[in-house]
Amino acid sequence: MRASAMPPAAPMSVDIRTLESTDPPPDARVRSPAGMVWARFRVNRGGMVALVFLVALAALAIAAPLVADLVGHGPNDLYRTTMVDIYGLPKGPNASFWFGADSAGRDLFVRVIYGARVSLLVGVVATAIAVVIGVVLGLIAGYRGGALDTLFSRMSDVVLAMPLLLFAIGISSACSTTPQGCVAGTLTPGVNLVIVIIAIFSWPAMFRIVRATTLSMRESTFIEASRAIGMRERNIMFREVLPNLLSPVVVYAALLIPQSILFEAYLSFLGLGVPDSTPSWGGMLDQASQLFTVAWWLMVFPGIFLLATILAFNVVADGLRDAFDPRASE
Amino acid sequence: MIDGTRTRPLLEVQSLTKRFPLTRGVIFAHSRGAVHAVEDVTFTVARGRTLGIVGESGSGKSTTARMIARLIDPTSGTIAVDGTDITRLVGADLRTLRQQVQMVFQDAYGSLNPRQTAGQIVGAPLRVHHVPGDRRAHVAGLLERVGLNPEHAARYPHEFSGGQRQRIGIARALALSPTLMILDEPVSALDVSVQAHVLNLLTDLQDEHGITYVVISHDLGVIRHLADRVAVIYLGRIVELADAAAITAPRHPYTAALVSAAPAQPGTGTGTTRQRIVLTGDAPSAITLPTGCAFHARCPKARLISGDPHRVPERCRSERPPLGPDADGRQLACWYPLESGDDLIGAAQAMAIPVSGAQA
Repeated sequence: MRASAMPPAAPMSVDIRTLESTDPPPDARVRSPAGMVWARFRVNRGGMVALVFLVALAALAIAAPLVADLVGHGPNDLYRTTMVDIYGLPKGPNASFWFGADSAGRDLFVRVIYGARVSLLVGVVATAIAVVIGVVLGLIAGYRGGALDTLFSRMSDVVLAMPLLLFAIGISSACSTTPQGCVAGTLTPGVNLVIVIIAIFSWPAMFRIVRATTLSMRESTFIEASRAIGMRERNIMFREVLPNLLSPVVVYAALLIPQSILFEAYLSFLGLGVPDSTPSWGGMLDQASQLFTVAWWLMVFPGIFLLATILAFNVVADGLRDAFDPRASE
Repeated sequence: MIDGTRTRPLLEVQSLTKRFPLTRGVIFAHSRGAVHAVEDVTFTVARGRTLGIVGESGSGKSTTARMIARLIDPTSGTIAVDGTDITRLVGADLRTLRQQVQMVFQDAYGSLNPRQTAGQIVGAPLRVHHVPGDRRAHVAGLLERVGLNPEHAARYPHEFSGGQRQRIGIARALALSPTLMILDEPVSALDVSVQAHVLNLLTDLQDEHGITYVVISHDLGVIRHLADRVAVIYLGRIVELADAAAITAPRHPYTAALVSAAPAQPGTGTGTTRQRIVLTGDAPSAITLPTGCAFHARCPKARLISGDPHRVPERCRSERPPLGPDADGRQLACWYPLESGDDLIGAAQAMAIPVSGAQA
């Protein structure tokens, strides 16, 4: 029979549950990890202000046609007689044109609101594409290792080694010479092209973070436990590892969005972004660069919006990082 | 051997060896020797019985556990569960084996995915193996069986105490009704007050379901509580394999040192006057194994035989003692097993004197 050199410390008949209930969980309410992150983010005043600003901006961008209706000026309506003087210079803010007009006599306020559409669209969609590519390749490279790891890592190194702006300008101008675009018509000039260019240059950073985190997580006991119950490797990657990447991915994505917005502004500033008929903050600043000595509003309003948006995304990203890992802020 | 029946043992491990190659160089990798984690380990465990594996850190006990659970592939040797060699299983066959062999980990918190609820964690094996039936009810039953409140299935691992987390780990291992459970230091990370409860749970589960256990521990108290037989492992090799009752009267000098290092059990006699056999030095490197008996450099008995605290008999240094049965049927790998009256404490103290000064 069983060796009983060591007598059991507690009689067998005692209900073990009552004995161990002396150590209750710290919080009686059931809280998911996402719920705790939100609870910690909510108390961050700066983060909440920035978040409210971004939500308001997004609402304005979505409701841009409504705003145009209310103001009574479309984004491409020309008011050459009323808002441009006889020397061809635009007129400044007044009761009906809150932000003044540009040199073509278009309402700058309406164009700034429409510009938010382009900026947010480019920022969010380009980041989403970069996140998907970076996460999938990073997971596979980090978890599988071997030849795939080498292949993807070298790919990302190559992209990171490219002179970013130079290549972006090259691709952009090569694809913008004809309305058909390039790559057999899949890349037409305009917002799509800008998004693709930004995504191509943004994914390696996400890839590196995901790969490094996966690499360290692969050795953790709960991954070993998943293997011990017979889970397939693919399911371990996507069901066990991926949810644990949420915090670095979300935080880094929140930082990638303002970078993408800025990148779009660079391209549009250089005249290689979206066409002039689509209002964009970068494009507006490009115009302003020739006239700002006489028409300050051309630079100030799009500039403030660009600055505030970038700042807000960075503050939110910062707040998210602290909310995901409370120890990091100390 | 223990119960006298002639049925085949559930687990048969034969000449199991694991070497982790050491390589240098990134592009042109070349071998620089190997870590000899487990060397030629052979044992069997009868159905419904418990084998304890004891040894100090780095002795290869966890590697052995992981090889049996097929988390690490052995370098050579065979592991047979229910008569089937499992060392070469892949794909669907390996997944079938997973239902039979389950593992409980030392780091209970680390073994639970922090982003999943207790219910999801315990239900995962059922999901993976498409176990039919009401999964929610099944999970509730498992939680209840291990002494947890089924209503806590919606909670996350961080909301449980250490003992409760290990219970979740046990419930997960239990989900597929395994025939063999590998317990890798199942209680060493827990508070002493909680250890006994978890150990009692494990013995109850074994009695109910007839599960065979292999329990890995550095704690002889845990081993004595759970195990029927004990294998003592030193530098990857079994040095002594005996009934749990007999291990308190060890014959291998290393086992004697381990037993003397364990805290005194109440009621075992000598109490405060008990003295430890203090071994000199660390365990030798597993990369370049010592010649002869792996223990000879630290062995007090060898000094008793040579009569000089700084010399060991030639045989201990040059010839490796094979693991073989002694007169009482215990397996032993020692040229000069302990006899009654051997003063190992004195010999160990004599060994320590010129190396690190006077030691009490």
